[in-house]
This record gives sequence, structure tokens and C-alpha cells, in this order.
Amino acid sequence: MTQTLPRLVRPESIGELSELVSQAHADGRTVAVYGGGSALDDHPPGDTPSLLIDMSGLNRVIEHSPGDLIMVAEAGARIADLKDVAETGDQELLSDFPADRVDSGSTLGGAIATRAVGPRRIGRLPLREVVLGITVVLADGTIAKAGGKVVKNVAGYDLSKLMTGSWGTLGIIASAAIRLYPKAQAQGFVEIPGAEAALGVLGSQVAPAAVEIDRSPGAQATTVVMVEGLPESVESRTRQIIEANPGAKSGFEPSWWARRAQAPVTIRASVSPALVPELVAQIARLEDAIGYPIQLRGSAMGVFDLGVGAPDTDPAIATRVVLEHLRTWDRKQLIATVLCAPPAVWDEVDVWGDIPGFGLMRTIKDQFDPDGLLSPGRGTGGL
Amino acid sequence: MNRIDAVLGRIEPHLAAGAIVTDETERRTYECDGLAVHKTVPALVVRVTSTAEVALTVRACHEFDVPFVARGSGTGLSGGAQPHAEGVLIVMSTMRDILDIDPLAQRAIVQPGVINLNLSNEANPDGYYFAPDPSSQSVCSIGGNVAENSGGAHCLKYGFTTNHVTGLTLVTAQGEIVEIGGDAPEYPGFDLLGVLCGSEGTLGIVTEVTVRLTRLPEAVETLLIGFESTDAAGQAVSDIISAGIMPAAIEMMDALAIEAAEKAVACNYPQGAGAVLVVELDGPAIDVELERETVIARARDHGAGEVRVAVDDAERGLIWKGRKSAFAAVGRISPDYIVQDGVIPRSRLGPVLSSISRIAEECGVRVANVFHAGDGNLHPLVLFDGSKEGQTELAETASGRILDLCLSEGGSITGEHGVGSDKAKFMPRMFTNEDLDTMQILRCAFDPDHLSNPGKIFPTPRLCGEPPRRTSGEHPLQAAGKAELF
Ligand SMILES: Cc1cc2nc3c(=O)[nH]c(=O)nc-3n(C[C@H](O)[C@H](O)[C@H](O)COP(=O)(O)OP(=O)(O)OC[C@H]3O[C@@H](n4cnc5c(N)ncnc54)[C@H](O)[C@@H]3O)c2cc1C
Repeated sequence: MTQTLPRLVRPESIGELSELVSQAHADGRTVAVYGGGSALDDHPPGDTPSLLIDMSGLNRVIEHSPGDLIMVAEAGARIADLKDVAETGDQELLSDFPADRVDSGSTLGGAIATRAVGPRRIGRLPLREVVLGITVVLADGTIAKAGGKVVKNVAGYDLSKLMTGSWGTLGIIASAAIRLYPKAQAQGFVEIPGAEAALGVLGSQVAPAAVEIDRSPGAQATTVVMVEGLPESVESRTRQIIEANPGAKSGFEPSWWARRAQAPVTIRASVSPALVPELVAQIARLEDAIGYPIQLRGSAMGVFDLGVGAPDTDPAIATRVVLEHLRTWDRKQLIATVLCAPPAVWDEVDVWGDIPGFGLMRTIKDQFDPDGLLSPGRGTGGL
Repeated sequence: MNRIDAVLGRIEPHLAAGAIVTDETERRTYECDGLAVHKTVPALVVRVTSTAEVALTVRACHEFDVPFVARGSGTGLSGGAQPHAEGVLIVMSTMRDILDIDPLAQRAIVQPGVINLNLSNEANPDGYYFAPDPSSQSVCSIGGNVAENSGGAHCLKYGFTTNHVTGLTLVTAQGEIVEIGGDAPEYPGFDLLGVLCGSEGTLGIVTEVTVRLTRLPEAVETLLIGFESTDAAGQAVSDIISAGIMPAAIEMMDALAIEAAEKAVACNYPQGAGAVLVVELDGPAIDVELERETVIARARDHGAGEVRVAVDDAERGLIWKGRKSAFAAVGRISPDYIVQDGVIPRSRLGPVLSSISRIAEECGVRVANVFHAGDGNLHPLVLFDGSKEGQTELAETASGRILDLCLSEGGSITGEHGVGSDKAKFMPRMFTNEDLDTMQILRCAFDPDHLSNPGKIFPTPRLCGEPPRRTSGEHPLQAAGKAELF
């Protein structure tokens, strides 16, 4: 099968980006965006776009105000570079962002469009909560902004949240204002065998910054708690956790911290925190029953990535079985979709299932992009 | 038959006696929310008790093209729940059951009419609370909090209502019941919860909310610190935040606000202070203790006078009483006042407060300042005497100029009270036509007929399906001969 290669453009200003998209719209051409390429294997590859926009020319920091704990930057700027800028003010950008995505060149726009999640969503709010304002280029080239650059603002609809996690299907993110956090002076880690202790730590008074659970195929799960703050406090709280949990010992940042497990397929399972131990136990039983390895990793707040399948097996069957199993749970308690998979899986498996509110999402997509020109096939549920 | 009668005919057979209010005098009791300057008597009032009743009412409104407005406790300060003269007011305060509290999941499921503080009170014995705490929390409803994306003193650390909602049931403007989200923290697809929070009842009616509960902290410490001036207090705030401390709350009051609070509730704030800060620290006991020392040191750097640390809940209560009663208290020193709500980048506090006093002077009014200093959310209270010729206009001018000032500093026209009917006219000062039209695209997806709380937020919304208000013609790109870029 031959495919026409998309034409590649590299705008250097928001005005230029808008002109390009507007022209594509007039010609009825589909458009997709290339940020850092760090999420190319996530979500279905989609249709080959007629125009591919390389965002690397839009990589400026527009404003960094340490006194206000905010940074405004263009969408093509790399997270790693922006983190360095934040560091100059002893501050931290996107605390809850996966380290592997930072390392592989993820951009600000890509991070927001994919609503990436990491471990530190307890003390410092997840990504969706720190996007204060956004400028987008709509399907017809219109430049629109919403929100602002102050931490508190309820003027008009919160389109920043709408664009966060929209996978480029509603508009092209051109720039964003992000809330920063002061850098913690110290961090400490405690390792606890099993997953049962996780909920106790979440509900305790030690104010953890993260509670992660990791379970490799066939192995016992491990809970790793991270605390951060002033050195004396970190030391005291670390001790408290160790004393309260048999088998707990002080540790270091594990090599897998904030990184996704390597597996042919990754399923994202989001679950009520109360049911986290039950999910971990069921995954172990399921693994035994079906004979496919399943790697589990994620936050005890209830967001897990399940790495399914071994390199030489057909991942589609295993994926289907795991999804079918997870979907017997009430979707108000647990919802599972495929995040990353080879092409066969996207085609053969019901990767999305029944998503609450999907009808409204469809209508929103039709309103924002009636001709279906933006990132066709890349969005959740095919939006 | 008029349209209201048609709606009545549809719903009456299905609702309990007393649920429907047609009597004019009784309807009049609903004519405004907490902002009493905007008044409209609704054509019909319906007090609902279930999602099904809301859906029934909205379906009837949709069928006969009748606008409807949801009303929670009616404490809103921007006219958000101001009724529509030819519309139905749907009163949600009769849906006030807490359906479930699950400490293990850190979740609660409530009906929208539940009073904010009641949920915390119910969750406290299990060691949890609902973090968003508007000063009106003893009376406002959680449905209203969701619609306004309300904040409160403690939102600096814990985030606004939107950060505490994981699921809700929505009755759309067509009367369909849609369940969104649930107990899990992340749902796939567009962030519908994110857009519904803060949509001021214009995208449908929320009939059930799943909220996140927050663990009560091990320790809480409340400090009251007196300063010579708001400038000094503002600099102390900046230094505290720069020191890496995230207090649960930092609130500021200026001399006039202190005077008012003192008259109203005898809160015994430091005498003669030009400004006070109320700083609350919470978290693990050891952190609170260490942070308290830093806060006091930073405050002393800026000439802090009296530093009072509450020793018990009674003292803490008294400190907060002064702050939380401040809006009402200015009634003691002025016959009339406007509560303004604007936001600025925190680092600009000093210069902005100076400009506000200049504006007050030029307009010949007095302005008392009470605000959430940690996140730059100002509440200038413009004091005036409406019985004096021309004073009302002067106060409105001052109030509007303060918003322009916030905008010129890169801030916002509202931090927590919402746009409602009161500030719709200011939206074009903060957003371009393109920005506002883009918000309308979202509106059209939820409410193509503009029946859900019409006339709020947007000054002159574009009709759904109407072409956008943009200049058309030859594209600048072609004109510039750059079309070969493709
Ligand atoms: C003294 C005082 C202090 C205040 N302090 C604060 C503060 O610190 N922080 C803050 O943020 N606000 C504050 N407010 C404003 C107000 O209390 C909040 O906006 C509150 O959330 C409104 O809740 P309510 O139930 O009274 O809503 P209402 O005033 O009844 O309605 C507000 C809006 O919500 C919509 N609405 C209500 N229920 C629903 C529903 N179920 N579904 C869809 N839409 C709905 C209405 O249509 C309206 O647009 C204060 C008000 C007063 C009077």
C-alpha cells in the first residue's frame, strides 16, 4: 500500500500557524501536529494527514514569573527545557509528568494534548489542574484564548481543560500558561512489600507526595511512598511510615519511577481508590488464569498502566481478555481503555469500551471541527 | 395558551402539591440572588426533588422553547441565578441529601442542594472534609459551587471546586440525563467535568455530584499578623511564598476593612494596624511548626507588629470570624457597598493597591480591601451612599475602573464570584470576539437553543449556526504571496 506523504511545515509564530491551518481548512485538507513525538505510539495512529505541522519553531518562553509561580510558553517548547527555566527560580514545572516522556523530548503542547499522568498528583495537583490558560488555533485557523495567567480565574468557560487531553482533535495548542510549584528541599522514599498498605498511607497524616504500586509479572507487588518537604520533616515522616508498616524500609527513587513499563500493549485503568488493592489482586489472579504476563504500575490514587503481553505473542487476544475482565466492573468504579498498542490491536479489539458522556463529546467534536480535519482518528473513541 | 401554561400542563400531573409556585408574591421571593441590584420575577418556580423531576421540567421547557434557570441557595454575587421573566426558575435547594460518604475511596456523592458545610460536618467524624470553603459555606449549595467553580480561603493549597469533582449527573438543555465520570480519578475523552465546573448553569443542570474528600490535617495553626501598611503585608506574602511555603490560606484586610470587622464582630484585631494577614498553615505537625517560624521571620522582615498565634479553636474561630464577616461588616460603616472580585498576579499587589486608592480618591468613594492575598484575588469593597445624588454612579465607575486595572496587570475580571449577568459587559474587555465565539462553540454543543440560563456570561452571544464574527475575504497569507508554503 502506498501512501502520499504529508507535506511538512514548520511555522515560527502563532500567526503563521493560524495562516497555515486556515489555508488547509479552505482546501479541505486534514492536519496533524508533531510535537516531540514522545506519544506517537499512544492512541491509534490515525489517518495520514495531508498536512503535518512541526511545532519546533514555536518554542519560546513568553513569560516566567517566579514571584507569581507561573510560566507562559509556546507549545513547541520542550518540557525538559522549560523545567530548566523553572529551576532558575527554584521552582518546578509539571511535577506530575512522566519522566520517560520528558527524556524523549515531549513538548508542552504534546503534554497538554495527551493529558499525561505521573505519580505526584497527590500533593501538587495533576497536569489538568495546572494549565491556567491556553491559546489555540481552531480548525479554521481562528486564534482563540481562554483562561489567563493568574492562578484563580472563573471568567468564561474553562477551555483549557477542554483542550487538555483532546489529542489535537479540537484545536492546535499554540501556547499555555502553567502554574509552577516551589521545589521541595528534600525527598524521601519508603518501600513497603505488597499493595495492601497503600490505602492506609493515603489515609494517614503523613501527607505523602506520591504512593505508587508496582507489580511485575509473577511477582509480589511493592508500594513505594514518596514524601517531600523540609529535610527534618521528610526524615520524621519517613520514620513514621516505616514504623507503621511491617516490612517497610527506607529506599531510593526506584528505576521505574514515573516511567511506563515496556510491554506490547498498555491499558490505562482508572479506579476508585477504595478498590485499588482489589484491582492489584485481581490482576495477579487473571495473569495466572490466562497465562499472559501483566505488568501493573500506577498511583494508589487510582490511575494504573497495565502492560500486557510478551514480545513474541499475539497481544490482541490477551488485551481483549484483560479488557473484558476489567469491564465487568461498574464503570463508575473502574474504567479501562487501551493507551498504547501495535496496529493490529487498534483494529481488532474494542479498545475504548463504553465511555460515559461520549455522546456529548461527539457533539463537541462536531461543533469544533465539523469537517473532521484535525488529527483524524487520533482521539479517544475515534473522535 | 401561553408557553408557561404549556409547560405547566406537562409537569403539573407529575409533581407533588407545593412543588410548583405560581403565586406572584411567592415567586417574587426568588427575584434575585446575593446581588440584589439585578431583579427579575420568574414566570414560574419549580422546586424539584429528583433528577427525574429536573429532566421532566427541562424537557417541557425545551418542547415549548421556554428558558430555565437553576437556583441553588441564591448566594451568588454576580446575578447568576437571576431568573428569566418569561422562564422557569428550577430551585435545587430541595435536593439536599448526602447520598454516600466513603472515606476509603475519599469520595462522597451528594445532591446539588446539599449545603457545603453540611458535607464537611458529616465527613469530619471519619477524618475527612470537603476542601472548597467559600466564606458563604454555611449557606451555599454544592451545585452552586460546581456551577461557579467556587473557591475559598483554603483553595490556595487545595484547589478550587473543579479539582474536587470526579463525577456528576447532568440534565442537558434538551432534558436528557447524562452521567459523567464517577469515583475513578481519570475518565477517558474530553474533560466534560472540567468544562461544566464554572459554566454558571449555562450548559445544563447538575443533579448529582461525586466529590473528592480531603484528609483532615494533623495540625492546623492560624496566625494573625499586623503590619503598618498593605504594601508591607503584600511584600511579606511574596516572601512567604518564595520561601517555598504553601500555606493553606493567606488573607489580607486593610485598615478600613479591619475597622468594619471590629465594629461588627469585635474580633480584636491589632489596634492601629494598616493591614493584617491571616495565615493558616496545615499538614503534618512537624511541617506546621517549622513553617510557622519561617512565616513569622518573613513577616518581621517587613516590620510586622503584633504576631498572634491562635492557641485553640476558640481563638482560631475569632480570627476567622473577623475575616469571614468582613463583607457584611462593611454595612456597619457604609449604607451601601459593591463587592468587587478581580484577580492580579500576586507580585503586583503593592502597586495595584496603591492604584486602587488613587481610583477611590478620584471618584470620591472609599474602598475597603479584604482578599485572598495568596492567589492575588482581590475583593475591593466600594463604599457609597446610594441616597446621595450621583454616588451610585461614582461607585460603579470606581468598581469598573478597578476591573480595568486588574486586566491591565494581566489578571481577570473574576476569581470566584463568576460573570453572571453582572459582568457580562466586561467580558469583551478580557476576551476578543474570537475568544468569545469559541466559548459559544462549546455552548452550542450543550445548548443549541440557548435555553439554559440565557443572558449570563456573554454579552451578545452568537446564535448557534450563525457565522462567526470574523472579517473574511482574501486570506492574508495569499495576499502576502506566501501560499506556496503549502
Ligand atoms: C457573604 C458571601 C460570601 C461569599 N464568599 C465566597 C467565597 O469566598 N468564594 C466564592 O467562590 N464565592 C463566594 N460567595 C459567592 C457564592 O456563595 C458562591 O458563588 C456559591 O457557590 C453559590 O452557591 P449557591 O448555591 O448560592 O448558588 P446560586 O447563587 O443559587 O447559583 C449560582 C449559579 O449556579 C447555578 N446553579 C446553581 N445550582 C445549579 C445546579 N444544580 N446546576 C447547574 N447550575 C446551578 C445558577 O444558575 C447560578 O448561575 C459568597 C457569597 C456571599 C453572599
